[in-house]
Amino acid sequence: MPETAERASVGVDLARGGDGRLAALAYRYRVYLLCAGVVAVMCALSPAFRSWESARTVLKSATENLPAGIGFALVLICGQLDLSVGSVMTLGGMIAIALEPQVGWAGGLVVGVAAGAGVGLVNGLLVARARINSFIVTLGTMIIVQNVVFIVWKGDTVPARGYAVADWLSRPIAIILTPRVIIALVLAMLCGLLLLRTTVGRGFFLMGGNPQTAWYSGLRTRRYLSGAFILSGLLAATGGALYAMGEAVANSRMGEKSLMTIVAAVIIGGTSMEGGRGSVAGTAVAMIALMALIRGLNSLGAGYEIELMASGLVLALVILYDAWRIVQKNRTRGQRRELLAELAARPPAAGEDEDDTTEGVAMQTKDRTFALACAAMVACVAIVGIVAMYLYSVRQPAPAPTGGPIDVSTLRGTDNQPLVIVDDSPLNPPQRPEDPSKLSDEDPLRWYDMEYAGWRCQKVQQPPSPGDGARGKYVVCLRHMDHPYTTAYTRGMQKVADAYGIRLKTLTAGNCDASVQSQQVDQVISERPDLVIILPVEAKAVVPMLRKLHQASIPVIASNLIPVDEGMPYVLAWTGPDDWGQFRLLAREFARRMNNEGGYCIVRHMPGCSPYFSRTFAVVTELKKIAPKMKCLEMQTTDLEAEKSMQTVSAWISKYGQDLKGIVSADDSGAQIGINEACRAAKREDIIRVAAGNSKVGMDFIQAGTLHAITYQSAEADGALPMKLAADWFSGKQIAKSVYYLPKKVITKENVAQFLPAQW
Amino acid sequence: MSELSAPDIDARAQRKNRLFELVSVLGVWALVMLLFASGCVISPKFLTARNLMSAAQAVSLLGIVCMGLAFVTYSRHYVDLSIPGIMALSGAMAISALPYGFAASLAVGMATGLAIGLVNGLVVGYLRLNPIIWTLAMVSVLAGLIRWAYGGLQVYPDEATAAGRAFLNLYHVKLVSLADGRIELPLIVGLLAVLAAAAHVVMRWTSYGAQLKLTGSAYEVARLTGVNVRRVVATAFVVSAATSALAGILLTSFNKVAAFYIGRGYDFEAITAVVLGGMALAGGRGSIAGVIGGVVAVALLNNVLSLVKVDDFVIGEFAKRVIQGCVFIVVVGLHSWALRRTGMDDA
Repeated sequence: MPETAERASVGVDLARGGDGRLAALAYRYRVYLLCAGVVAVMCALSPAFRSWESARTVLKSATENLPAGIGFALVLICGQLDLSVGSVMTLGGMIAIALEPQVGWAGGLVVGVAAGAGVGLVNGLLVARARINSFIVTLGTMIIVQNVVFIVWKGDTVPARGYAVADWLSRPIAIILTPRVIIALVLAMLCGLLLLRTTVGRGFFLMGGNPQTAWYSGLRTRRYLSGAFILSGLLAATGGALYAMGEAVANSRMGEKSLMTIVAAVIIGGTSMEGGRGSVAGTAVAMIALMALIRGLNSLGAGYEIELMASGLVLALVILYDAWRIVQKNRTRGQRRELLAELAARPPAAGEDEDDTTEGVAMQTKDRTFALACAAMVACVAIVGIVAMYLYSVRQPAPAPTGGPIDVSTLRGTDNQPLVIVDDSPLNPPQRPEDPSKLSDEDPLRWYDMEYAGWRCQKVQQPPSPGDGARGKYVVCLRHMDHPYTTAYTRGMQKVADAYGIRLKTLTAGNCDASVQSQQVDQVISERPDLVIILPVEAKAVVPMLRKLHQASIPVIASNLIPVDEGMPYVLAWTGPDDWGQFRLLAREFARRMNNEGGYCIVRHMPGCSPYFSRTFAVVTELKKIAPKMKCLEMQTTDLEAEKSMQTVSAWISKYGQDLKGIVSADDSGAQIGINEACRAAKREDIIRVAAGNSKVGMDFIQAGTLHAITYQSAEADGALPMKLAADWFSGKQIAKSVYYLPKKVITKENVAQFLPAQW
Repeated sequence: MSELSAPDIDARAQRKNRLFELVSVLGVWALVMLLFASGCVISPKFLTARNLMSAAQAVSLLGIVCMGLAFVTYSRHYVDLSIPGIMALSGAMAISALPYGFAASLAVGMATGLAIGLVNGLVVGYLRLNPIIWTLAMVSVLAGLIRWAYGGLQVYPDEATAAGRAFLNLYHVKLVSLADGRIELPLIVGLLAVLAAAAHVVMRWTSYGAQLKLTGSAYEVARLTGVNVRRVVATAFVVSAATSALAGILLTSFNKVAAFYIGRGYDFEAITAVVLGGMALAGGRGSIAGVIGGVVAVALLNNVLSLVKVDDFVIGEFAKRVIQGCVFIVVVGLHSWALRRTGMDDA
């Protein structure tokens, strides 16, 4: 009989009273246990994780989002949501760095924080006074603030003028504590004290727990609500400003990815979505636990995908555990233990069941919920187990080649092109203008610092080559994003590494996330590899990271995306495609096909990364020079998405009609699909289309004749070249140039056959 | 002595109420008409069949997602943030199943979405976990899973097989083509219309719709009335997952490739359209007609702003999004204000 079983199990539960108390204690301190558990497991699994440097890295990355996290928790305690914290972080950081030349560091910080508080005030007024749902309001302000930042700084990155403040903020004071960590922790402590030790703090909890009661008991709920939003904005902007000052650079989408981390940490830290419950200390500990998990996985060599899964699973497990506790609590709510114990001890009598039936059914339903919770948790644990097993099985050291001289020139890519290729033409840059930013956007010299970055540069003292060959060396590659291109890139790099017997590990900075890359640089410094290959997330944002690697005397080769001049002295060399040169070549082909006349539009890359400029202005300036009759009608970013591109191009075709003769695209896959679809739907197949290459989709279009020219950019060769250079350097060869370009080529229908099959 | 007698005040209040009621009922369609009018003023190119058709086609997939998400929002469970994950995974699974035929591919794609929806439904509906947090965790796991399973590569359908070609053509199928293709009804627009009609019928005319409304308006009351609230909520998440899976398959067909980035951004765009359409996050309020209005408003806003000529390209493109954000807050704010004034809402 189920009832009997139920009763018996309750009886057993009661008999183990001590266990119940232990479970309650464990539940109460679950986030501390989680943190300790993660750290212990990672320390046991990964030797690289057991060092003060890695502890410092974990603390630093945890405190990066901490102020914004506390703000988010505060608003959540009041029973509301603040989705705008990420955008406000960006705003605070951008203002603090960009205003520094005019008003100094303190001034910039104050203005940045004030701007954040201003956004918070607007949020607060809209939620408390206009009584609009906070989800809506902050979703709106999130979009508005992010785009205002794009407008003001044109999607660009702002570097700080000097490193004095950044160095001061990142200098270790007491083994693992740096000023920026201390400042964040002090902020957290102050907020914690405010919440726990003051009347105002209790007011927040009261209001979140039951707004009606709070109002009845004379609490000025609207003021409290506005206050929470203002504090949240203020904290987020402070966090952003501190972070940007510590890194000496502010990127225009630096806070974009923070929201997910913040929400996860705040919830894991025990703050309730229903309001009225939450803790600052819990949030801080949860941040540390999450970051320790991610850094630990990274040091084990896990990819970005494992990071994503692991942080999602931890969040899922924690909230399932919460739900399980609540189910358990409900099960015994209102029951008198001693009576139940007595009941369980007595065998059930036959006649007793009559009035018990309804209760029995209710018990059964609850029991099913319990079983369901268990099943869900078991499923999650199973997935974690599979992932752990996967992690355990990967990363076998690469097989060393069997002696003899190594010749990589015979290696071929998956597209049957030679794998290791380089453009040998000499670099002769023109004279740099006094101040390029004063020139018009259509002047080629306006973009001098981007286009000719590193062509002329004075290297600082580089670490000496070991001179003992490449075999057995350990190289870490920091990739900028997770994309099929970078997958093919790594394939090429791995091939060369295998040929030389080099051990290679790759890390990915999420989706072009500057803050993640900066954390990975810290981590790599603590691992001390023989060489680092870095694919910058952004030309300016990477400079402080290169400087840091250089200070740690780790040799660096930059790749794929060229840093600005300020960063080039710190690297052995840079290798990669000549984006500006490629697009000048493409522009000439475009002009030829357009007969040097007509209007054209440009689908741009994503703001916040360098091709946003190169793949736009190389075309604009080149066409201005060789085909002055051609006119740029409009340019716009579509985030490289097919649907948005279709929408945008359809609108262009409607708007400009026959004036629109050609379209240049920063991408030949997603964006080009949208462009082609729009042209087809509008029966405008006559529009000349060129794009950055070369994906399978793009080459299919070339063959079909719906795309006229793309650039040849071999992802595998892009990855192979820096590894070849690294191997040369290991064996003591001189690195002659500071910039090594891949050969430039344009693919059209005539020559597309030789580039098939596509690499990605 | 009061200057007005009680009936006078009543009548005035009633008139006022009626006005607000009108505003809230017309809700988003007033915005649609406003946008339509301003579109006609701004550009002569606006009122052409081609422009309007392309605007409609561009948001059809969003509309399909919204039809399912509306059930979740209606049941007062805010939003299903796992939508992008479901879209990407069901598209990828559909392509992986192509060797077994076109029908199998569609079935596998839909089944994948339904399975994820079932998990969401069980956890949120039966275990009462917070929907935002659970689906956030879910989307993170799914994003990792897709990258892991496909090794960060794009998955292409095989164009050499009939099934592959059929899959690629799915997005482009035209249901009706009149006058040399000048008037066309794409499959996706037709699909959206069918789904909208079905969703409307379910919400308005079935007992499930009534139960959903009651659950959304007052969860406890519904439970005490004998509504199986857990199942009602779980079903809403399954419906949302089903429409997301459908949209994901179609979007994959459009993109010609399955990859983890398929469906990115659909979560917030869909909830924007649903809420703009007058479906309150407080649950139990709004209608499918309103949601369609919300989708149309998003399409028109985008289209009209794209037709405006701006001298500075960079400012133009981001200013557009700033305006969209402002319109979103103002419209939803006005709507909830109107509801409060008519006494239909005390939130």
